[in-house]
Amino acid sequence: MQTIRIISRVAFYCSLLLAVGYLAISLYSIIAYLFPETFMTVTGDRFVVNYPFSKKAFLLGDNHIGYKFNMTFIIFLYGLFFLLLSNIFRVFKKKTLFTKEGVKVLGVFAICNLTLPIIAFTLYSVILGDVDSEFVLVILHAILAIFALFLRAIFKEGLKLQTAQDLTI
Amino acid sequence: MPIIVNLDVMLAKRKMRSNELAERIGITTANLSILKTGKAKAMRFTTLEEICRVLDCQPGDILEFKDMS
Repeated sequence: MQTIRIISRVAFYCSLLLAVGYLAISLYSIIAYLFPETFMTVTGDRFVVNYPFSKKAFLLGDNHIGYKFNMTFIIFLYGLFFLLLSNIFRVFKKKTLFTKEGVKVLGVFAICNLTLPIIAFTLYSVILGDVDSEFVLVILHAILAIFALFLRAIFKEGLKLQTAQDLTI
Repeated sequence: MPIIVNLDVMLAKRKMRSNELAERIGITTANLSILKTGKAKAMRFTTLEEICRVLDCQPGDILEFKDMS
């Protein structure tokens, strides 16, 4: 269990760092769309979001509102994904494994992985049309959600047993 | 639960306070309170043994079955 706790601690900080990074990028891209003259370079039908206060390219894409929206939305969703993942690792690094918080966190992770990729995929297909490779991601997230649901069921049972164990005098 | 813990009765008979019993049997007063109030899910034989030894009684004096159905 000690090894799991150490791995979880490392994974928690890594995923939290990724979450902050993705969320910051999505926020920065919104700011760049709002103030294009400061943060963006537009050439024809392509746009370049530069690193803050520089002319070095950071994000590239088609200069189309739908594309921009989708790109930011997907970056934001991955920020959210890593945030939820860090919550799971936080549960695993605790001394008491089976907690109400653990059951809740796994439930939220499962629901988000089932629903949000479908929403993103639908928006992507409606706005941009080209969706061939993105469907694989929906499937992968659905598999993750199913594993999280199984883990949640184990946690629920574990919590029940632990409560009984705690009330054994 | 149909199993009733009559620890209060035995404590009164032996004129012993809860915290003294808890100290002598080696459990916390919080756990003894869980036991007294009937919130406990199970009881270890070792705990029962200690209670019986300290209160000089039999398991039947502590535990009682009442059919609720």
